[in-house]
Amino acid sequence: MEHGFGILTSMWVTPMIGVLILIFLPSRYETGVRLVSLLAAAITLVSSIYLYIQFDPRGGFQFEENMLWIDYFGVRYHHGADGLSVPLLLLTSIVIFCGILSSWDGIKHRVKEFHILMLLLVSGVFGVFISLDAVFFFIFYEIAVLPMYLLIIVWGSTRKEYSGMKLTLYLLFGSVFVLIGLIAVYVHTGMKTTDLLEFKALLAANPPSDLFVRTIFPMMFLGFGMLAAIWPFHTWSPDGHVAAPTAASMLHAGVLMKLGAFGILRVAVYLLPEGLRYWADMIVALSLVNIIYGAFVAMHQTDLKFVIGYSSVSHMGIVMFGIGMLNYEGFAGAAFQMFAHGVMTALFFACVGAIYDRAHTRQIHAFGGIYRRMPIVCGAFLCGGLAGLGLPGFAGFVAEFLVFWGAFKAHPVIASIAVVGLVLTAFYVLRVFQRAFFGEPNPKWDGLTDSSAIQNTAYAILIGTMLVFGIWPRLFLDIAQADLNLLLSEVLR
Amino acid sequence: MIDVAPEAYVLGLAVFWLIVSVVRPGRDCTWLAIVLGLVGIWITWESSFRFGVMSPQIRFYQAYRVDLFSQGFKLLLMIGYVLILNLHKSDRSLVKRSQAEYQFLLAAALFGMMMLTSVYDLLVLYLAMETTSYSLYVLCVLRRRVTESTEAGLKYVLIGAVSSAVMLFGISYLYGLTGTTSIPGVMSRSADLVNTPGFVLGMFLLFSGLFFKLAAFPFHFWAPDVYEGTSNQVAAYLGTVSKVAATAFILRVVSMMPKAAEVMNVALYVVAIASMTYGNFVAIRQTDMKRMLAYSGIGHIGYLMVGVLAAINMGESGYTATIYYTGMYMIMNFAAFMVVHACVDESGRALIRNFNDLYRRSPLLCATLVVSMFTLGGIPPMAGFFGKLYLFMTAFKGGFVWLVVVGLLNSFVSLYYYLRVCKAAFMDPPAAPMPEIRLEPRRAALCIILIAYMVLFGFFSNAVDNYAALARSLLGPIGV
Repeated sequence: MEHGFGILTSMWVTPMIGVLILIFLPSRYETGVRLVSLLAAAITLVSSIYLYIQFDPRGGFQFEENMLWIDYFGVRYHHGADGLSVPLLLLTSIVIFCGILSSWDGIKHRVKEFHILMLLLVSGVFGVFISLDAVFFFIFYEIAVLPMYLLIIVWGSTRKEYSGMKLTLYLLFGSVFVLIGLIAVYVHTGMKTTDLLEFKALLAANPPSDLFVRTIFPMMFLGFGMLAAIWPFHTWSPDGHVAAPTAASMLHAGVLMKLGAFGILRVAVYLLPEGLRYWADMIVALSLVNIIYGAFVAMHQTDLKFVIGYSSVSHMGIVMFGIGMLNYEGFAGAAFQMFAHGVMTALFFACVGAIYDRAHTRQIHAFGGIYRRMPIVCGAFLCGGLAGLGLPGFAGFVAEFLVFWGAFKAHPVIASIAVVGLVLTAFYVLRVFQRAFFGEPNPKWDGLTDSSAIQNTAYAILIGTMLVFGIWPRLFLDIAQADLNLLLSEVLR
Repeated sequence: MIDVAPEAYVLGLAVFWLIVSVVRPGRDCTWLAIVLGLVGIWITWESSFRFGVMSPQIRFYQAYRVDLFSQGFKLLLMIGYVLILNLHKSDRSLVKRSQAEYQFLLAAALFGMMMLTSVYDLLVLYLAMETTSYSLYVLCVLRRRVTESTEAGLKYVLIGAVSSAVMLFGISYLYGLTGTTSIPGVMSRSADLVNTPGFVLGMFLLFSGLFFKLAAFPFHFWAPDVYEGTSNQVAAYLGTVSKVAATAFILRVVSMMPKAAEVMNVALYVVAIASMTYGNFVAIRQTDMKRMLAYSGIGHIGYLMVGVLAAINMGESGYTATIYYTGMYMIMNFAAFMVVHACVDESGRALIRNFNDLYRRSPLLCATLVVSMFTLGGIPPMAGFFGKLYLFMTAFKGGFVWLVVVGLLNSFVSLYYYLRVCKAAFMDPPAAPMPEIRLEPRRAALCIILIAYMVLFGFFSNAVDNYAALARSLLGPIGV
């Protein structure tokens, strides 16, 4: 079955073309650089909306492109999008678009290189979401991870060299395990192909031993799980988020961490569904720690970005928690949470970035009453916070509701413990509002100005997305339903 | 006799430079050398792949074998030689008077290495090794008025001499047991003798000599000191071309063994793991770029030994993976050395500090450095990733699961020090303002070619496909 290049290739090629144009653009044309990268992001945004509309809700891999690439290894250039990846493609293009908008004024030196790395990174992310071949999947995965190192050490703040190296080493360490797992599957299936679909067929025809499934699945799970900040491998994530520049944090927390969860579903669960069944309890236990511990630590942070960093750890725990429930509600909630958290956390980081650019500090206790000076930024942050603590009307509510519904069906006791995490979320979000935004105005901040029109556009897009999907969740669920059910039925078989 | 044309040409080249060194010492002849080297590539290509041997030829009284395998490696060596010539900075690096001598020794060493790929007799092996080694000994001390250079050369001579003696001792054992010095003769007896202590000892000593040339783990002591002390282009020569030749010989010996002894497997297993682990972990602590590359080289030899093990146990695919990786290693390591050579003044040390802010001083060199570090680290989609992937997949299939796990963990460790170099180049401010580096068009073009090779070779993987197929076809005529 051979299909030529199509729209999915354009998803990852468009940012690459942007990179090429930028390389040859003299770096003194800063506005030109920003416009080119914004244009590339806009094109991917349009394409991903088109994909979203055109996607057939009956599920399965669509828009496929399938060509033989390296005969000798059996590598195929195989791309396809299913109900799981289409929303994430949309998420990625929204976040990169808003990310470029919100770093419009923030990045002042080496503008060209910054945008080159951003586009490179996002190209890798798109590639991961659409790859159906293990080698391409892995290549894109690394392309998505590595530019972050340079983004952090060059444009970052707060212990940037330490954090950048830590983040990179953690993620690459994880990918070693992913690679071992993939090689094991490749060898088990006779070294004929690296196509994930064919892997699946070959694994079905020649089922691996229980031992194989039980050792390889956790390797892949933990390998990807490191990127999704699974406890106890989460410590890179708050450090990295804090150190990264605004747009990079947005991409990183908003999209890159989802790569981990997506990898678990697309590779580990898809290839070895029995593994998930066997290890589900373990996953529930680890993610419970994520939820509770992340929230507790977030409560005690004094740096705004650390608060959000640990809240991400907690929220990604909810994704894993949903996967571990082994029922439709849990799966759907997890998939939805990936999307909802991506938008929400991008909004958070955009707001914090705007505050930091003006005030040059992120210490909560240093602020006070800045709501009067920056009503729009604080208002946007408020929206993100309310979405985070699960206010109905925002996408986050639907996602968390689904996850906990599934959790109460499967493990009522554990679910009631996990709900504590939500309460804590409310606590730390409100604490930030109270200490930093409201309260006694600190005269030191009288000179602060509110966000620019360009940044407001980014906030509007992000808040709008959260509201649309929160009010009309079927927009998401209809797309993802069929494929999630299929995946689930294989796990439960 | 067209099949030995490459060796004849290189020998002629060496003689030519010897004469020049007497008649016109001190004349800068880089351009002439490059042109003559390119002619050499052409001759090797034409004689081997156009008119040349498609079936193996045994020459010189059963002592020398010319086949596709050896010719492919000769081409690779020739290319490496021309790359090294491109590094030559005539004015600063060497004692002025020894320009032509440098060319002579380079060509003489190349001649020895070419012989090494075709060796079919243990005595010829010894001759080839010594021809190479003696030239390299002298090359090491040609650096201008640096004490480390002398020290490095002395160290290299002493350890080299000991290892040659050890190898001869091993050869004497093999001769004593089998009554012949012909390698296929020895190997054909190995099925009976494989478990006798004498034979095992002989093989072990023989391989020790080769491991010395490769700087594999227990025989690596010389490498960091010699790299550090000698001039950059000679270090590059040692780090790239000479390893290709030694790998070629190891593959040839291995291909003639009917069946590997268990003890041989174990020994290679230990050497592979020890080399990888030791090299990569010690490289972390280095502050000198050339020392770091030396240790990273020790690590890479560990990966190559994984390939040799796979070749012994898995046959064809193991050879292909090893050949592929060898070729790749030569190019990527060369790229790293080229940046070292361009950035660092020959009279000083190549500290990683000296690469600070390379990003501003020369974006092209910085790009070359970053790409070569990523390739050495095996990060996709660089060419090195495919090499490593192939190596490890083959080993995994051969049942060396733990070897693969250790290998992958090691390549993860190696990323730390490779990334640190990238960080220095991008981020760290220089201690004192350093001037911009102006590259001549020749070397700028070389940079671009190398970057394109390292990035695209993996990505446009039909090239990988063809390369692997070529490597496989080179293997065809090997064996007894």
